[in-house]
Amino acid sequence: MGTLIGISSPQVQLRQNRSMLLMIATASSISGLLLWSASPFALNNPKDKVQVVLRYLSLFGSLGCGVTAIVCGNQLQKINPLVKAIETAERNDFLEQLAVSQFQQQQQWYQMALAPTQRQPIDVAVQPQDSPQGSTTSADPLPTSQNAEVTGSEHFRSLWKSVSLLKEQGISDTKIIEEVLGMSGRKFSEGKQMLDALLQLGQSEEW
Amino acid sequence: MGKFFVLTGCFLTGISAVGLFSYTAYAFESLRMYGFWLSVCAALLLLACAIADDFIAEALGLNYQQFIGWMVATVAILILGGVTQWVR
Repeated sequence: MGTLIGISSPQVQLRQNRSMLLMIATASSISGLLLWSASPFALNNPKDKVQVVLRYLSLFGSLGCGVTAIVCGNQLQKINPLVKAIETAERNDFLEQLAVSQFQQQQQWYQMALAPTQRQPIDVAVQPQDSPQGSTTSADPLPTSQNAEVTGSEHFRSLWKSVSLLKEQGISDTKIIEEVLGMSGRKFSEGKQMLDALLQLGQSEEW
Repeated sequence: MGKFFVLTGCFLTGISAVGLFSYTAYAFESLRMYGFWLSVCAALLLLACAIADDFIAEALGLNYQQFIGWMVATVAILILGGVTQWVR
């Protein structure tokens, strides 16, 4: 059984208003142009009173359509920045949720890997400072729930690593934006900005 | 997107209004001379705008390029809206 009254959020209402305004503006523009351009060919006898009346109706109709398009266009200009701000906030929320879920998953994997042996993490602090490079890399601390403090930038670091690996393999930016970042079509320019920001972040952090 | 619809609406309103005057002059012979004098007035106004372009652009608060753009758009609307309604 369907609900009698659907309570929608302001964001949804704003989007609905925007699509309604777009629909009205498009319909009025197209019908106005058709009315104005077709009437001279369809109703061209000035002796016939009916045709004259219809011709005037079509001209007044196209005038009304023009005014409607202007009003809808003005309203759209007011609404568009709000809708863009909502979309940006939603995308940021999504990225944050993605990073949190990846962090939680990584934590679970570390715990699963440590569970059979229950071995203690090797403390790097007790390693001598003048040890060669090779030995320090082999003695990386095993991450546990205590010492594996993964910050929020960990997600971006792993993303940057995979993106730079793909770039080294000669994969084009377009393919990375569309298939890795999932920003294709109308969101391509946003994806390009995200990719540039990610690469800049990688350079500044020296990952 | 909004700007596009505003411009389309302005264009549509302009050609419809000019078309109305033009068709009135075409359909009613008694009003034809008014249509003629209306077109003469429009032509004189355009001429005045072309002569005093700097002064009018400054008075309207537009730069010269914007003023010329509006002039070209107005002439295009007058020609389109006026001539098309005379098609037999």
